[in-house]
Amino acid sequence: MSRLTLHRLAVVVLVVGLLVTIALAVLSRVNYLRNEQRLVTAQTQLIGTTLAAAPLDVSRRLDSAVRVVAATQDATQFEPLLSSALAPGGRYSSVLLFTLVDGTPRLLLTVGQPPMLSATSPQASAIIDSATKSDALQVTRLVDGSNQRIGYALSASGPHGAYVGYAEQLLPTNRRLALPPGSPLRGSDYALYFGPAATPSALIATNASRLPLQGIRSTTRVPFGSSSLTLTLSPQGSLLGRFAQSVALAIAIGGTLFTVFATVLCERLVRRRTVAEELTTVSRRLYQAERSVAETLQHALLPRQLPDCPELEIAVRYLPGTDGIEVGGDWYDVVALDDRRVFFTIGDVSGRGLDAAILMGSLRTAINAYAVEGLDPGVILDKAGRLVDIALDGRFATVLCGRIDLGSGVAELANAGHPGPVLVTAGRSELVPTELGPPIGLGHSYATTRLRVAVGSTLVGYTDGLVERRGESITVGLERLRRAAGSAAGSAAGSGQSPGSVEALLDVLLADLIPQGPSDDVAVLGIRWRG
Amino acid sequence: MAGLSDSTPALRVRLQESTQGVVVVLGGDLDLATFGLLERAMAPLLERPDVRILEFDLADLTFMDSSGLSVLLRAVSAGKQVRLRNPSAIVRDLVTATGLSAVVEVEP
Repeated sequence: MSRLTLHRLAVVVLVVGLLVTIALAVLSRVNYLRNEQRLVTAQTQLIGTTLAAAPLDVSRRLDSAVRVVAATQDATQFEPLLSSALAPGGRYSSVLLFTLVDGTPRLLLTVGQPPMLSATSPQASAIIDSATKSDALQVTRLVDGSNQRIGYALSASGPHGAYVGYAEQLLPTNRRLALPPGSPLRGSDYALYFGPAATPSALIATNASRLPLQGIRSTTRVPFGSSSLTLTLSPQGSLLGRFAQSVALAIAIGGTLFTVFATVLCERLVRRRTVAEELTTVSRRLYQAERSVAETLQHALLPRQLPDCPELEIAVRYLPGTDGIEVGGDWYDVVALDDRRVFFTIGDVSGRGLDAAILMGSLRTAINAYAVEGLDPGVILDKAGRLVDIALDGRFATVLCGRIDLGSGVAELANAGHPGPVLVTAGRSELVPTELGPPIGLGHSYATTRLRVAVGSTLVGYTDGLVERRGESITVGLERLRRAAGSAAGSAAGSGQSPGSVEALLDVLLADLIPQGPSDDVAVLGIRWRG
Repeated sequence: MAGLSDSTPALRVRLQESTQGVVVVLGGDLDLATFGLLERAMAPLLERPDVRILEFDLADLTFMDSSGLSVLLRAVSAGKQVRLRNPSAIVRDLVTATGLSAVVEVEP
């Protein structure tokens, strides 16, 4: 699998993580926008409320001036009453006083600058007419190029007639208004329109460079006398604050990073588990393969057929140990050299596994070959030792071999580090002392021990698995074997074999010494000379 | 692996060099599980031609089996003179029973 492809689980983690991140980021953004809009709307409403109070404030001076004139019929009061309300100190740039004569307005006074409204225009007649008909403040707007004014008109009736006062207020030229400090409009883009609609021609003032305003905004319409004002607000920054504004982005970035991290982690874990599983499978297969090769080899190496000669009764046993799982290096062998002599071997290669089994096979073959050549057992051990290089791999072999003359019952034995054989006669058993040399491969010269075997007695060779027990000296195990062999020879039946046979002897012996099966491999060879 | 989970290792190996040779002080159990430790400790000694005598102090060695024998035999096969000092009765019996007394010195 290439480094860049992902396992399915990691893909799932990636997709789910990204989807969740996107969903959360989107939700967060939506929520933010919604709250921001709410705030903007509330702010706009608030400012609108403030604006709604404006007309009253704006028209107060005019209103009282007109009422006074109407009540006193004295127009001379008009100008003094308005002097402080006039620009540059006050709001009004001009004020006009009309009186109504038979329903027709007649201009009485002009205070301040010349008004933009022409007193004789239809617009003037219209506003005067509305003022007389209504109590409400009449409001109108006049535009002349970049100049604009707002006009207010209201009437008051006296005992001798009605008067109408008309005041004009300057509106920001070029539609730009400098905001005083502390103005609630600071921090926002705004556009103020005269009338109910936010049309470009109705624009009174704005601080934005482009209209209509973009982004989150709110529009409110505020009654203004006989007309209305329309205000649109759009905050320049975030009312909720920069932190709230960036939460969605933070979620998106954080969520993506975390998802990527989780995906990578998941992928690595899955890959490691896959590798571990593969390794386990491979190693299990390798182990089984090696085991079966070693077993096959061992089966092939142990003799299939024992020589069938009337002078000898031969029995063999091989018990693999329960402790180890690999195959061991124990072996036995019996070959007829000619019709007078038989050669036997019992040996033990140290260690376990294929290597031990292979060395065992080589030794067995070599020893048998030397024996067939007629060499003495001691010499055979000398020569067989050349197959072993202990310094190389630490592997050594103990061997007990012997040549039995079938006519005389004399056995010539040679022993390289191996436990000596047990000789079992009727009811008596003894450990045969041999001239013991070290395990083969050290260049030692092995001596030959001559042993006269009585008719009917049995020579038992074995490997150390039969006598070795942890925590006790090997001599204790040897003595135990000697006694067990003696009593096994004494006991008659019990093993299903014909009583007194070598097979029976071995069965009883093994049952006595290792009833649970051996922990280490055991090979046992019993040879009885019938004479 | 024996010894890894205990506070005292199953096999303790200590090397002492002197002008006479090298003394290998062993303690604990020398068996299939632990002999690798001894083999690794001895591998450089077997390579050195200046080390001719290897003395094993076995006073504290409580157990030895054929894997321990393989280490001793390896030293003999490599041409070193091997001495075993203060072996326990079990170790001494094993050495005698496998014919090693023909190729190693045992004292006492």
